[in-house]
Amino acid sequence: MINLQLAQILLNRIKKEGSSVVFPLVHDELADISIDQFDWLLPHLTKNDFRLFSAATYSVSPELIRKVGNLHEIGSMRTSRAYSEGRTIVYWKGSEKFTDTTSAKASNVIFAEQSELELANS
Amino acid sequence: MKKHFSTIDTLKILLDYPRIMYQCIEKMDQSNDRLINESVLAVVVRQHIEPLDTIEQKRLLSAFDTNNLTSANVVSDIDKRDDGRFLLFQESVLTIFRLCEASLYKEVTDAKLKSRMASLWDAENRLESATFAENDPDYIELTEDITEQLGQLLSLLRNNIIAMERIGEKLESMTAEASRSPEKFPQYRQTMFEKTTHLFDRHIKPTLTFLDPKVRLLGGKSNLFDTLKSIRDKYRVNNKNSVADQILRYDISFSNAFLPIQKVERQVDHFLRKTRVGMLQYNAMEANYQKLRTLYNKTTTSNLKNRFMDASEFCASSKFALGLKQHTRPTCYQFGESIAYFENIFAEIELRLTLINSDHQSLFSSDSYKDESSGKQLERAKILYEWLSNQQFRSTKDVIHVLHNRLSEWLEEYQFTDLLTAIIHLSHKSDWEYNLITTNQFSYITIDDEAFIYRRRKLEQTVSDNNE
Repeated sequence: MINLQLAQILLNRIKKEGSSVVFPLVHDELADISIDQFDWLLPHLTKNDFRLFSAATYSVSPELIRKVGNLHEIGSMRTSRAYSEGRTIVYWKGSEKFTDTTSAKASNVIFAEQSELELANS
Repeated sequence: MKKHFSTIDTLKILLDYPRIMYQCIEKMDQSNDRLINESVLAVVVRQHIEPLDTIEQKRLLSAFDTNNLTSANVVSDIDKRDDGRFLLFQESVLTIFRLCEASLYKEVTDAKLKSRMASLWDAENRLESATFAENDPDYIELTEDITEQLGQLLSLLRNNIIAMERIGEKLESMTAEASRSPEKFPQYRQTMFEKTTHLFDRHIKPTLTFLDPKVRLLGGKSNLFDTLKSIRDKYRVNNKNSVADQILRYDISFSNAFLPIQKVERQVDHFLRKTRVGMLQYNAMEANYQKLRTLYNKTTTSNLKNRFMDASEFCASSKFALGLKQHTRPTCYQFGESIAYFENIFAEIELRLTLINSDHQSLFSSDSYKDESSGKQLERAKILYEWLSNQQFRSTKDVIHVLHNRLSEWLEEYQFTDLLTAIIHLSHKSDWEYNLITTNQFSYITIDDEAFIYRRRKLEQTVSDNNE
């Protein structure tokens, strides 16, 4: 965290007026940080042009996922046509995310429909 | 040697055939020139005298002769340019004709009003040093000057108001004319819109600002009414009550002029807005129609390969078409007659009945959730897991949506985090007869104003346990 602050200060010094640089902040094991700190940390990072990029196991709590907002669950999708037999895990097409209703409507994603559920084959 | 008319006779002839002067003034206004070409005037005169008898023709020709006009002092100056001689009519002569024909009236411009205002300020300043003595010719002249200025200003504004009030008729006739030739309509509307905008911006609005008692001028200068008041006060202080009363009457007349102009302003503003919106819509429709039309024309050739319109470019260019297919439409309820269909319905009903019977009481008190300590969260998760283990599932294409519906019915202060908890728990559940398969298709669900975009998870019964 201290390193982070230091990097911000140095960065602001060399930054040109009016320009902005966005850096990914890579953090392994996000669950190591206490959940209470995220209310402060996340807005702070965004304000200083950092984007959090972090890995976690399933031990990460739903509250944390909810706070971060974006979730890439790697390892749950498998393909039947893998190019190598040992590598069936695939992942593409972006993250699952929390957003507001308007932007969800604006995206190309369809609203979950009741009728599909009722007539699903059993 | 031609006979010369006196000023009054020349003016009489001019007024006998006012059309000639009207046309000249129109031409001058059109070219935005204060002078008129001698030959243009001659052409106009000739057009008008054609039906008359010879004596009258001669009379008119000699009256409109340049020499006569100059000597009668109707034309004040002659300007020799490359393309002939140009006549400068006396401003007072033009004013008479403008008075006779309201449509010729030139709308007051911002510049004109400003110069009037400046001369009023000047008079106000001169009053500071005036003696206010009846026998001082300077003072008498100044007072005369002020009243004359105010009188001119008032008549100028009044004429303008009349001209502006006719704008409604003008707009009406413009619209009527436009509707008669539909193919030229868009063009016509464009020019009409531009003209009206010009009138509105350059003439109506400045006049309105000029007459607005609340307006503040740049540089801290006083507006018309403040100036009038200060002039009036100066007379009052020096016991010149009759002059002060006269100025007060002007003041009232000016205030009266404000309302009709405001009315016109509203009309024109409304018209402009309406026309603008109409034009935008019309243009949008027309443009898209033409695009689609060319696409369609390509499909009408004998080449059978082009049976469908290639709309990819069109869709990309118009935001409207993008994602149109994905909009939710009311789905018709499909009734089937197959056995599988009825079984499906009965199974669904049974499932819902058991749900209603089993968990209808709430397990969380609201304050247990508000306190967000991790212990409480854990407790909440435990209860959730317990509830999950009691749930009956069946194969579905979208298990998250099913859970979402059930949880929102069952759980108080249900949040997306609860849904996540449930999903993560289910994905690690091993001792049941279902497979949870993540697909790469997205859907979204909403709670109030928040949305969750997720990959649909299929729930499938594992083959070995599928005995049905």
